[in-house]
Amino acid sequence: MVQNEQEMQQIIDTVLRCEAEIGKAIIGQKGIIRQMIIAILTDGNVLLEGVPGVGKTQMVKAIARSMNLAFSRIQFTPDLMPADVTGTNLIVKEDGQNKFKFEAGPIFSNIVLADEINRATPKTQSALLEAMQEKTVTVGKQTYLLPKPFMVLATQNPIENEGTYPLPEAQLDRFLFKLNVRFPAKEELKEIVNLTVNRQEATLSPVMTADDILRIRQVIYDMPIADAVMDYAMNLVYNTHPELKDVPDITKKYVSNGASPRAAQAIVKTAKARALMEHRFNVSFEDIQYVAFPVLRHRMICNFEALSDNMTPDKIIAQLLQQQ
Amino acid sequence: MSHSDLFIKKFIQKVRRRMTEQKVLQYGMYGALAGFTLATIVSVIALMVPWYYAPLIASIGAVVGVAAGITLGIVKRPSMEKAALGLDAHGFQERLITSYQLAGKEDSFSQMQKADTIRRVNQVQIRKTFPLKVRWQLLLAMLGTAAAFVIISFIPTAAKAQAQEYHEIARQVDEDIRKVEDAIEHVEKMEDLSEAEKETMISSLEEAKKELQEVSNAEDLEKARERLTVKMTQEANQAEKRKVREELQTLSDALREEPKSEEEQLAEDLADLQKDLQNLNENTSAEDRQAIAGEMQRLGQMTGNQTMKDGAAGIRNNTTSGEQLQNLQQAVSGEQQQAQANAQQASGEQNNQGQNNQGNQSNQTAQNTPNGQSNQNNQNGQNNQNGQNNQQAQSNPNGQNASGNQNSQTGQNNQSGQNGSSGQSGQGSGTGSGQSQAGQGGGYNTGSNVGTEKDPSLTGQMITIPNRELQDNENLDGKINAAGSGTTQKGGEAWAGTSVDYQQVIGSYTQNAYNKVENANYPSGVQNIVKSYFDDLNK
Repeated sequence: MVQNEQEMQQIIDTVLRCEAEIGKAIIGQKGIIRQMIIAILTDGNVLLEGVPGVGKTQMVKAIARSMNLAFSRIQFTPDLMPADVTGTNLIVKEDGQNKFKFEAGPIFSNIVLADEINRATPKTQSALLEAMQEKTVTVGKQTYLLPKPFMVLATQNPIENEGTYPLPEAQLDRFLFKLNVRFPAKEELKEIVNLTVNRQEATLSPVMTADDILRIRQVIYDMPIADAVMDYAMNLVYNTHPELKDVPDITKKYVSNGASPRAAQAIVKTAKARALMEHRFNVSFEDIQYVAFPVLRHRMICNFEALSDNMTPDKIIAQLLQQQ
Repeated sequence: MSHSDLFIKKFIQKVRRRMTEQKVLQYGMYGALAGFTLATIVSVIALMVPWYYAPLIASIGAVVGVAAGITLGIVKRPSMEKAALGLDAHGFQERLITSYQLAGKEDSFSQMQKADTIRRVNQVQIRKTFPLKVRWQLLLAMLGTAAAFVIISFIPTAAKAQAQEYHEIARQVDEDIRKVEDAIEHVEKMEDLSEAEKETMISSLEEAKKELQEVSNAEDLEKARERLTVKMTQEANQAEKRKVREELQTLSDALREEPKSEEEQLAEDLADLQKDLQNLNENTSAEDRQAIAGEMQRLGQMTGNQTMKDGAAGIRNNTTSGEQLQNLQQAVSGEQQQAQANAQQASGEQNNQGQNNQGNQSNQTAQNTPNGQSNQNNQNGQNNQNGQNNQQAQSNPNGQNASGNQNSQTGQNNQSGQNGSSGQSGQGSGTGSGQSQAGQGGGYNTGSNVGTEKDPSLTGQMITIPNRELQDNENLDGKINAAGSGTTQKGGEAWAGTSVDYQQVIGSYTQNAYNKVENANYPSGVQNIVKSYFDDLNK
């Protein structure tokens, strides 16, 4: 528990310094970096979607380095097995006897980069998703705890559809954020090339530790939120359901399934984290609006009419926010 | 409550007060717009439709609109939460509302949050942050409707004048009905009247009340009043007992629109005294003699008539001889005529000054009874807009003034703008011919709005009195012939009868008709038909 304002200020400064540190290695994408930090601070998992080469892997590595967290990368392929993710029991000779020894998989890390998760089979995907939800891995009869903090950053390639296994909606719901990593601007591209081709990569220093993250999480939970702001967030989630009454027409027209209560939880806790990073001690409407897009865009299922009218989830969310 | 909680609460209250002022201003203007619009609509309607209370209703509508707007603004004032959110919307990012809801919580996070809020809002100038704004379109619309209402209110139209008139008539009718009801109550309590007399009088008063309730214009009101007052005066004159006569006359006076002048009152008192003298005999009680003597003394002093003053003692002591009594009656009669003439002259002078004579004007007609006793009826004529009195005189059909009786009342020529002054008294002995100048013009309850001089030489419509031959000493209502006699030659038109000027007789015919229908207790509907007929003839 934070005792005074000074402590609070130190916490905020730490987070902002971490953000700045990551910014040394990643050109542009400031919003993505902030949202990923928010996700880490709120114990969430992130689904990154972007074309190849935009720096998704580099970003995750930078975060892990600046937060002094263990990092592992899993390249998902169609032939990847669940055991390749979680680990497996191996027969080893110990003291002249054959025994089973659990060999931990790459998932046993603080930050796991699940690259191209949609390329693995649903069976393999579910092994990862179980770990994301439970923060544990069960192999045989044994359950192993994953380290804390634990975060999965899964990536998807929006271009390739052949030979992929899109994540089912129920599994998508387990991701706190879905972040769209855009192609960098021309100036940013130039800077990226300068950074990576013409000179040595930036060296990042750790700014915070795992304990800092766990402490900051506690502070975020204590952040107060006014009833009016809470109602604002709840109304937003409510209005994504076309089957409910008094919802906007745009929802009834373009949405087939709305966001789950998990979305409401996600909105509130991530808004708190954002308020902290803005040097505030309370959540505002602006915070709700900021986190609404990454929280809701993968949780709302649009119908065919939305597809034909080129109505994306982001556009629907923008209209819902405007009408509130 | 901690210091920070108190500060935040007070600050929000200030914000709330300011936001309430804005709401009151906004709703007040909407209310004023609605009120003035309604007022303008009412005023426009009042331009075309007679509506007396339109200005009052319009004004009330405007005031109610403003008041309702202000009240609504106060009722719809923001809550504390809304006020906090109102200020937060100016860049404070829900700090104030969060602090307000953290009131009472003293954990470190809450304290930090409140401290942060206080730091931020301390520099806020509420009046500057919440300036009172008025939409210029709304202001313009409100001022426009207000101006329209004021301007339209002052436009004079026929409908407005009519509304004023209707209202005045209704007020007068209500007043008259109240007087009649008071009169009914008074009659019921009069002990000197028999039950039959009371019933008759009350029945007449009830009819008069009914007639008043059916009045719809000023003309009908005047006619109804005149009939009522005449009826009461007639009843008073027919009463035998002085006390009853006085009470009935008081009732009649109470029913008059305008109070009598001194001259009129004197003339009436003298007429009463005259009647008392006629009824004086050996059986008259001492009390009545005392009263008559007292009255004679008083009136003698008022008029300065020595005969009357000297005769009072004789009456009191019952020592007056027959001849002395006759002299007294003549003296009283003469004074009564003079008083009457003075009253008419005073009324005429007022009219000559061009004042509208809105009240009743007396038309005096004198009718000589077959016995040569004159009855004078004070009858009220219609409003004479040009201030003219019409008077009519009828001469004694027997051409006689009964001995000791009063002379017939003479009428006066009706000249434009002038009252007829009292005419000359007819002279005559008991058997002499009573000569009088016939009055001209309309008589009973009618007056001529245009007081043009009626030149007897001008031809009016002639009528024939059929199947009637004059007796030797008979005079008809007619013009003075060259010989100065009031007789009319025998012979006439196609019918056997006598030809006379229409204008000369219509007055008496009208009067007779009124008397007959009222005294014969015809239904009120029949009475109205007859009266309306003669009213139209007299127009």
